[in-house]
Amino acid sequence: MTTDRLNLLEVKDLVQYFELPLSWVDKCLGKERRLVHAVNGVSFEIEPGEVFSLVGESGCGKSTIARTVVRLLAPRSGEIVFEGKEIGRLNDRELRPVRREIQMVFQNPYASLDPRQRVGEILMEPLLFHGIAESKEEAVERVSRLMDIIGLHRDQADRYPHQFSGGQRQRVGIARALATNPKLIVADEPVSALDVSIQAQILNLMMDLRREFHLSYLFISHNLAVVRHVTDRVGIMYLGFIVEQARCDDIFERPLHPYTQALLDAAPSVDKSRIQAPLSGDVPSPMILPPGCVFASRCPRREKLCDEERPTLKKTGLRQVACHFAEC
Amino acid sequence: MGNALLEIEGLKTQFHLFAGTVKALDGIDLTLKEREILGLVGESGGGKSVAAYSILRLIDPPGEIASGRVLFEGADLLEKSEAEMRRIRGKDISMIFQDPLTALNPLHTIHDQIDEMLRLHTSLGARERLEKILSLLREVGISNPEDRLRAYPHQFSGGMLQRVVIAIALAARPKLIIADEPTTALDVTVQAQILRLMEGVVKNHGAALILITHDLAVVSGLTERVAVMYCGRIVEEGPTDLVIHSPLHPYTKGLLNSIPRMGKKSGRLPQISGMVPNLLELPDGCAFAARCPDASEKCLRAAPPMRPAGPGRKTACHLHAGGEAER
Repeated sequence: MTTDRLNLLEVKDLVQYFELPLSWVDKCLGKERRLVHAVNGVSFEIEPGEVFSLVGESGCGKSTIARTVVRLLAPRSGEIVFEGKEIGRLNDRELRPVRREIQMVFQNPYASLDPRQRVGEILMEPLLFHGIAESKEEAVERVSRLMDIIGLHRDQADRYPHQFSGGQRQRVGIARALATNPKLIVADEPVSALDVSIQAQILNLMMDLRREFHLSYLFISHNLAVVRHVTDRVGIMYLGFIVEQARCDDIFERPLHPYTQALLDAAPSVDKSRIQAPLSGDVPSPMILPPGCVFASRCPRREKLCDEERPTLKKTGLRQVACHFAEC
Repeated sequence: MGNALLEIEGLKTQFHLFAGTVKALDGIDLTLKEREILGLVGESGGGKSVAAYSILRLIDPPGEIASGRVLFEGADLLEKSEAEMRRIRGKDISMIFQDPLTALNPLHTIHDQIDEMLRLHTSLGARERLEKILSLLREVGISNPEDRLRAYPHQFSGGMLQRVVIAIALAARPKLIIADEPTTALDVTVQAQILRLMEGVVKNHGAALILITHDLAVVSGLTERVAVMYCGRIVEEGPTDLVIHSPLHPYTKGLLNSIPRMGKKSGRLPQISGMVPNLLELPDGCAFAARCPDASEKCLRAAPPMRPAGPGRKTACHLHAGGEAER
């Protein structure tokens, strides 16, 4: 990353953990509270106009990062710097102007739209709340423009979410994010609830909007093939760590970390004639992190060192990898 | 090998709703040979799950199997009594569901849930059943099964649970296994393990498999033949590698094109325009005509029937009316 260029978003050593609630029986027995270590010191940057993706399996912490960046969660430690300003410790009032600039698109378009609000009302709410539209008339006009941009008919603003298909609802979700003219959109699995033919429509729309409005995306996905089509840079996550970070083409053409390699091999593809299963077992529990490399228990290249010492992130240019046996 | 295990002829399943009748299955024909692995692919609303449930006669009101025949080993399942069906379900035809957590009973141990299958469908004694359960669990890749017998579903991860569900499906040595999106709820690396496992055990047991999925990539790695469904009809059927590498029906082509590929990065993804029509208001002509780039006036007038199109292949499209696979 060139340091003289101002990054839009910098996440530095982000740590996020959750306490599991104890039942009253456990409390009486004096058991200790258990922690789920969701994110364990993650750093990345996003430049203006860039698309950065976080990829990993469930429980790797990618959604937790997304929710922390939009400040639905406060970081336990570490910094979130947006346009040069630390936003990790701001309170709700101080966050208001920031929320305009960072918007979110959610995974499930059925759950993320209020079923009792008409689409027009859903889109108008951020406009009025943030004072973007000065009057009701201006807000109506802006809603119509938003409907045009996302490819829905203006008249459909009078309809309720249940009258739309999944793909159309996700368009509404994107329009709502777009309403405040944000600089960064955090999209958490925006197409994984959609049918294949609709996925392509939504991905194309998101990329058109990126060009038109010079948007940056933090794109969260478990699907490497989807990521390949939309992303400039990728971070591969495992158990709350970024184990490899690189430009998109490098990740796909020359993966360095054994986990990245395994993800690429395991992904089913119409171009492959056989399904490979490179890894055995499941992701271990994020409640007890191993002292060494977190991937060691499933790694085909595991050696003694891996169990004893956690590998540090090695950096060369735009590439980063955390493995004892990989060099950038 | 080579004998037909399952023959579906003109199967129609409808749901009578207040708003009208949904033709979820609008006359499908499908043949499955012994030991064959067939993929049933399509987007939501295509009718793939309804097809599976119809084979097992699990359609509840307001749904109804309106007409057709489902011949399993030559006998029509639609004419069997409910008691006979209950003996067939699980014994001859078993099913693997999408979400292993809801497929299993949270109040019973893993042992009891596999044992139930053996008690109902086999004449094994208690000791033999235990042996069988342990060998099944070993076969689906659960190490130290002795220690896991008393565990409850919530103590297993999603991938491990799906292994248990597969063990249950295999328990009574069925001739046909229907797997409805068996890996959709799982992570990529676990999905790969489960698919490899299913391939192995199905071949080991000499069973046939119908794999229902929305993911053409899953089908391409596992199945010999594939049928593509759209709006309650099969629109294309053939050997998997041929269908995937030279699709005939415009819907199959569109579906394949719109999948993001890992190998290459192109700017825009080709997309199928529009969306799946409302099943309550299906058009008279081809259901795909409104989204089809090659639709002609004929497509809007009459629905194309399934016709042979090359060796082992069939498609329902007016563009392939001659029977030859024209491009």
